[in-house]
Amino acid sequence: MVKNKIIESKITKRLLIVGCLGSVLGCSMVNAPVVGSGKVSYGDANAVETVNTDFGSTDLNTVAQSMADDLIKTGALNQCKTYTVSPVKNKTDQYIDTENLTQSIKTRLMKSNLVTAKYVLSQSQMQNQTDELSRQNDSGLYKNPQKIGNMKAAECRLDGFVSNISKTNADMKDVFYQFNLSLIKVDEGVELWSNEKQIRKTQVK
Amino acid sequence: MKNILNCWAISLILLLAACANNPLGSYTSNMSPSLLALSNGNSTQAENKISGKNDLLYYLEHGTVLRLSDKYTQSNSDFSFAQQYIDQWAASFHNGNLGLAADTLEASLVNDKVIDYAAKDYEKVMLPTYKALNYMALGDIDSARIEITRMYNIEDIIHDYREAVYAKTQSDVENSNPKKNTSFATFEQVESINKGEYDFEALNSPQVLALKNSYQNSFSHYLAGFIFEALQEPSLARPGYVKALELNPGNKLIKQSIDNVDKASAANNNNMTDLLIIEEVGHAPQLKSVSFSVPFFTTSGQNKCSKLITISFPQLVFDAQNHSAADIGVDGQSLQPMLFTNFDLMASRYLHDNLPNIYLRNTLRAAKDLALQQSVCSEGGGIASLITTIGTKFLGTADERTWVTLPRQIYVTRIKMTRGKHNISVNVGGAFKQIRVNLTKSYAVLSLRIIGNSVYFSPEQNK
Repeated sequence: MVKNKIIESKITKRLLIVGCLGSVLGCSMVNAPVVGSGKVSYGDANAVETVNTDFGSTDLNTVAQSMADDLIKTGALNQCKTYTVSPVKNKTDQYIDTENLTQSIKTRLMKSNLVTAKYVLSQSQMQNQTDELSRQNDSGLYKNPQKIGNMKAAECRLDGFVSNISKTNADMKDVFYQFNLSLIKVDEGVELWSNEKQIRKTQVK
Repeated sequence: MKNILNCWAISLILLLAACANNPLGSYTSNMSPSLLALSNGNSTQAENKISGKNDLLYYLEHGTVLRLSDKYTQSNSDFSFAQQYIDQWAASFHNGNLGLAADTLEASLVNDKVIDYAAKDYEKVMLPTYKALNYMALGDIDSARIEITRMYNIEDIIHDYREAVYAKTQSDVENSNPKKNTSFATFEQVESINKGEYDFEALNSPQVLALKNSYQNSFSHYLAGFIFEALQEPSLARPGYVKALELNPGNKLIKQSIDNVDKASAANNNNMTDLLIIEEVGHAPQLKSVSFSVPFFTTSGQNKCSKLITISFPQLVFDAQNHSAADIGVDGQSLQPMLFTNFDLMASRYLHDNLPNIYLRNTLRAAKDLALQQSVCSEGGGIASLITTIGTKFLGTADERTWVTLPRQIYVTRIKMTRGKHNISVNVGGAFKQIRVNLTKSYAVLSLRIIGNSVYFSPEQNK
């Protein structure tokens, strides 16, 4: 009983020390000196952004999350051993870098334990890959260069597009976005899964 | 009080006389020798004729002339200095100071010309466009991409700024007449009274009013589309072409480019080069100060009296030499470039949109000048009164500053050719000017600038 109390007391002391150290370290992080005028600050990357009606970070997060979660839930992706993501077509009149959207969806799929299909490099990533293979094989600098001809082909591919409809009058601007994504079996051309996400953004002038 | 006023008046004259690069001088006269040198084919002389330092406009003009001399790195160095001024303006606006709009009061008390030159909206867009073209000439397409994203980002800032300025102008108009016993003719009245003295019609033509605004131009967005296409980024190339088409409806080349991006088969094969040929013609309009009289009403008791005051507006002076594009020959095949951007119209639209604001500042200034002259006169007049009258007259001319080495018009054509050496020629004033280009990549840009009878090719390779 007494022994237990001593052990308990030791554990409590250790926890206190760890806690204090943690606090001190934590404080030192919080009190890190800030360089700058104070006019620039960091914000929450997941905060809702409503600067204007253009396709923004919140829309990107919403679309990527919604699409990836639905695809994972249906299990359709596991019908393929390998998959890739084709470049998402931008059919809007806005400069939207859909590569961010593609990467965001892919990252969510890869992080999920429920997805067994393996991601293989997309068309836009292939140039760097072939450059590296060529460099290893053609330069004569390497003992064991990675062999050419071992790359895995995608059994399925994700393909999508984003489009918009804008309307403006003297008082307001309304933009409707639609994002479509499909999972297609490459050899058969069969669509295994499809989903759409709609977003409406309205700005009062 | 009399001594103070004497001091002010004399200081003013001394200040003006002392300035080597007199901000109140005629910018049009200053730049004419440089434009003449360019039209004579002497870009080095043109470079030397540009005077002034540490000024946004100097860097814009000098950077442009350096570009015509194929000095792309030095040109971009000048443009980077110019960009710092634009960045400061944007930061000032973002920090809630309303940037230049806050200078309205300062300018209204003296003259538009005494405040630092703030690039016109379309000039702010053309600066990163030219930087992108310089990087393309240097073969650095990744840096060109950075500049082209800067181009459409600055458009967004200008859009927000214009809305803020519009709101501020409304409030200025409401507070513009502190003395209830004085009033000026409205801008609309001035427009109808002075039709013979100022070319208001040129600013109100259907072509000018058809422009979406004074800052977005079709060429910059088409170039953005081309650069993104060359970088295999169709999701960004397409909106570039779409925006170019919105600003230049019906343009077949742009429609074709959108179709090509939509077709996966549009990718170039290894033996072909997609060549973008940009033909820039003449120079942008200069500005000339035009003065005329407008009524100014005063009320004293039951009596309403009218006086005439002199105000000044900047008037556009268009390039008298170069009016349209010359046909381009590619290995003997004739190509007709299509008009993408017309800076005569954009400068007109800028003035059209800003003239009411310029008029407002003129009236505030005129009221201040009248009050100052009366005050000096009542304090004893004499030499101070005379100097003040001359000084205010001198300060009363309109701001003539503008980026004149921009082209008058920009035309574009595009052709797919086998890689290797080709002859490209242009017929200017009956004489053929030719360049031999060596195409080695999937995408390439060739610019040519026609001023007078002179042609400047960029890049000037294998000539």
